[in-house]
Amino acid sequence: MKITTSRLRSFVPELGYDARELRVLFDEAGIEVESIEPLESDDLLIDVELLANRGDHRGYAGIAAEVSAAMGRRFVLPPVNGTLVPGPRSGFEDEAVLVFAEARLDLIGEALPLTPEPDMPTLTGIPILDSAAEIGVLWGHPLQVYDADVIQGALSVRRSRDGDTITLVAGEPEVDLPAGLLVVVDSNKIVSVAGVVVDACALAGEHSRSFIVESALFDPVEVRRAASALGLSTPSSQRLERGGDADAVEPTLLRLIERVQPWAALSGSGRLVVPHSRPPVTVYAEADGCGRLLGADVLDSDFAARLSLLGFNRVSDGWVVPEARRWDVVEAEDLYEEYARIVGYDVLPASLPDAGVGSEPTLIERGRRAASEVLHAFGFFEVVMPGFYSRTSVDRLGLPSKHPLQSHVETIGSHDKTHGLLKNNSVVTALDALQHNQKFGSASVALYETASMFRVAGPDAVDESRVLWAIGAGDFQPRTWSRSAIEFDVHTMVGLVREIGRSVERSFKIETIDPEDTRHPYLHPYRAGSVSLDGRTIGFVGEIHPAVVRSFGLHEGTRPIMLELDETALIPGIRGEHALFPSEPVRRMLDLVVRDEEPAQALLDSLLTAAPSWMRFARVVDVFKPRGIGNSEKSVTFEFEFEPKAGRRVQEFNDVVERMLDAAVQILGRDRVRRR
Amino acid sequence: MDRAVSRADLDEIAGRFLSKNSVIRAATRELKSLSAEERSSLGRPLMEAEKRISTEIAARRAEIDDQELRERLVQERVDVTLPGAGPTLGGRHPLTVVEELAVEALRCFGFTRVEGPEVETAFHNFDALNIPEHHPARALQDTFWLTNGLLLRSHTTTVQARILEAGPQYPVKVVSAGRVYRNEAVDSTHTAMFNQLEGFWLEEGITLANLKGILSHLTAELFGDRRIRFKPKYYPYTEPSIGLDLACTNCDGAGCAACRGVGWVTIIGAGMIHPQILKRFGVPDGVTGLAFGWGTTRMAAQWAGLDRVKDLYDPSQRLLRQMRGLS
Repeated sequence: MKITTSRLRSFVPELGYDARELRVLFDEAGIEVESIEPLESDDLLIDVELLANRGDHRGYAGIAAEVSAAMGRRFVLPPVNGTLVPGPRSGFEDEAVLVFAEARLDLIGEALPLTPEPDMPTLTGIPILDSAAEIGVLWGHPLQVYDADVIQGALSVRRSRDGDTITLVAGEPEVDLPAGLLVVVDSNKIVSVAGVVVDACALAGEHSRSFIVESALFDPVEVRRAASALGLSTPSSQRLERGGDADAVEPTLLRLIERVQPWAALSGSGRLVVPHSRPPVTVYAEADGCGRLLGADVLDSDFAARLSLLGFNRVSDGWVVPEARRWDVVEAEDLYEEYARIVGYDVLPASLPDAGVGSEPTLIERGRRAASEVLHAFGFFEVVMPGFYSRTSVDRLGLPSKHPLQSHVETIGSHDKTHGLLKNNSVVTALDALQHNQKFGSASVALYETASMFRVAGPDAVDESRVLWAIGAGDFQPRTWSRSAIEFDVHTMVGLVREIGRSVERSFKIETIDPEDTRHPYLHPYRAGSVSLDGRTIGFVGEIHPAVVRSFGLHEGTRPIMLELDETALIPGIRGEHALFPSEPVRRMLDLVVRDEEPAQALLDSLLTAAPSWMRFARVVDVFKPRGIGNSEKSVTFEFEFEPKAGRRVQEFNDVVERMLDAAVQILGRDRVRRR
Repeated sequence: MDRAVSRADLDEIAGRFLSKNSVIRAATRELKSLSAEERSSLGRPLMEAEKRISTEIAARRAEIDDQELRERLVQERVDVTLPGAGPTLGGRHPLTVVEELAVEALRCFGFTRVEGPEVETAFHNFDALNIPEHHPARALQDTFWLTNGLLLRSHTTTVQARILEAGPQYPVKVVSAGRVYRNEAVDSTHTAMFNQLEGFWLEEGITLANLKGILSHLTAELFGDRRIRFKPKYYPYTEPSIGLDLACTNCDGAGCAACRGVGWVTIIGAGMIHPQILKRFGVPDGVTGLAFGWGTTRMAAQWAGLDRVKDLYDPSQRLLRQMRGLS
């Protein structure tokens, strides 16, 4: 809202002229200043940001009340001449109608058009409408102006019914009104949605000779409900949906009558109906309670005096009746806030509470940090990406139509087409990030993120889980002046997964994914593995399917490698008893010949079934294709480390290795494994 | 010996004078045929000659070794000013950096970090936080509603609702940080997703003075010794509601284009937890609560030296490296 200091000064004559001091004054009053622009003749245009709960700030009078209080003065509204005649409640039975006033005005001379002002830059050019708007802005209460010649019979208020319509914009088709909204009607039709908007056909226009001006107060919830239903936010609805001022209904209408009297005259006496007064609010507030909340010494006399500046007067010991405009004051804490505001938050004391001992990071925080340190050591950078994408983005994965990942949690009415679906997988995000980097000349990326994934879990339920994903493509270690580049491959990422596992004291197991498995159609069927922890699948690691790479328009030859881990798997395990082996171990090697497709993990698992407790480690140390084996075979060399012990003979170690080999042969079969 | 310049030369000399077939060894063998007196008079000079030659060869060998080592070291010269060839480190995102700074500062008061879901119910996002349906404050937040009636949380205060709903043991000291969403069109200054951090503390006798004390401490930890001020604000879930302004880092409060002449930048919104929320969740009488929060997006952008907050969500690795101070 924009206000000028010249107009505000007509309410608060003591108002200063210095822009900087005015800004501080407004800040202390709780009215945020967006900007101050100089105008002519020492005038200033102040753009203020209004508090959402203070409808009474939406007018000069309301702002004047706050500014006056901040200056230590109580603002009193100037009196207005005349009164309206009380009218019957008939036609206003609905409980949402609190006050309804109307008056008929007839043109008696040439209407005086208003000149646009900096605080009211846009005018309709129709004097009665612009005058009503100006009065509304000055006194903080909206007025509606109808063409009296269009109105048939007396105005009343009812609820809209099925089939009711309204013309929102002149010349455009009528729109259906939802049933149940509060509407103002004449004997024939709806003339306005109460407190929101006047029907364009009933609105006073440039050819209107007589007007009916409405000044009313409706239940704020009903006003907001109607405005929401119509998708409208008008100056009237903005004011009344925050709770209007019952005491301003009649005076504001009288001020308009006074304002236009040179060219429009009151016909009759107007009428004022008060069918359902808002129940009076009484608040018990005491200085001690205020002091306890603020942590300050609050004297009773000071408490009462400062509140009275804002119009809060005690009616009896501790009991306060707020003014009708203060819908926001309903309980003691509301008044404690008013007191604190008028004292000044900078003036009130500050103290540190007794905090006791500090706290430690939670388990998931520790796990997340440990994993990120490994990722950083591998050269990965963290990104933060939006939580949604578009259907077009997902389609690039080429998922079958019935694939579970086709099902998304969807947003309604997003302003941006890329915000239509909540992400249910990390692959689209990761490949988008890669594509973005390639577009701007970076072929090599190493990025990771911890993000939420959202999956439909029922008609009104969402399964939300957090995952750690990482993508590497191009150079894992770039070419330098001294050596060639090392490219990302699946084994780099597998190494990363294993190191992350070690960092959180977890032993992640990686197993080959069945090429026929349809859960991860975006992965290369022969270069991907599932990651599990204690028998539970916690993610995947692997190369992105070449078809998906092509679909994302990535550079020819790009081989992105991804991992995704359920974040709960990063909760650190309990550090077990790690045996130390100070003595030199006894080592044995075993060279096995297996088919190319045989996973090393399966071989290792079968060998370990016969391993003694005194074996320290077993590891793959070489994979190669020696002469003398089949074309589709490979040689896998294992190294075993055993704990030496006095009295343990050399033959004993050799026998163990033989037993492990026998176990592997027995488990896998002679056709799958043999000694080289 | 003086002409010997290599180990080979020395080996040749050693062969001639010290080997089994050398003239000295041959003469020594001849001594057997002589009398004891002659062996004594002739044998000692031969031994001394052999010892002297051996010593001279060793000394010369040391000289040659030393010379060769010096030459090798010269040949092994490397340019240590060339770039290192080890693996390069990655890094945390600026948002994570500032979140961790803030959380770390709050841990000394005993705050524990709690995560909350991003998909929320209207109850936890609005109703439980004193924002009923048709409340004007709902208009402040262009909510991302979902087709299933749920929504994307518009603030991290939802965590407060969930914690209180669970009926916690008091005192409660929680900090929560994460993504929040607003249904806005994206441009250079607006993003539909941004990050917030929120803290709340409920305990018997907690006061607004305590809130001011904590916020003063927190801003000193995060921003250093800068001037601050408190001013009235409105939030539906706190009462009183206050804002904390920090003197503009560009002009130190004098007023400049960066702060639109204000001299101050509001960085934290805070207040005492609204009595309606305490009542709704059955918080015991006497227990009051303070709460505070701010958008970490803008703070992270400042930390990273970015003019546009949108760039924080850009996955360009080149930019991420630069934000970490790497070339």
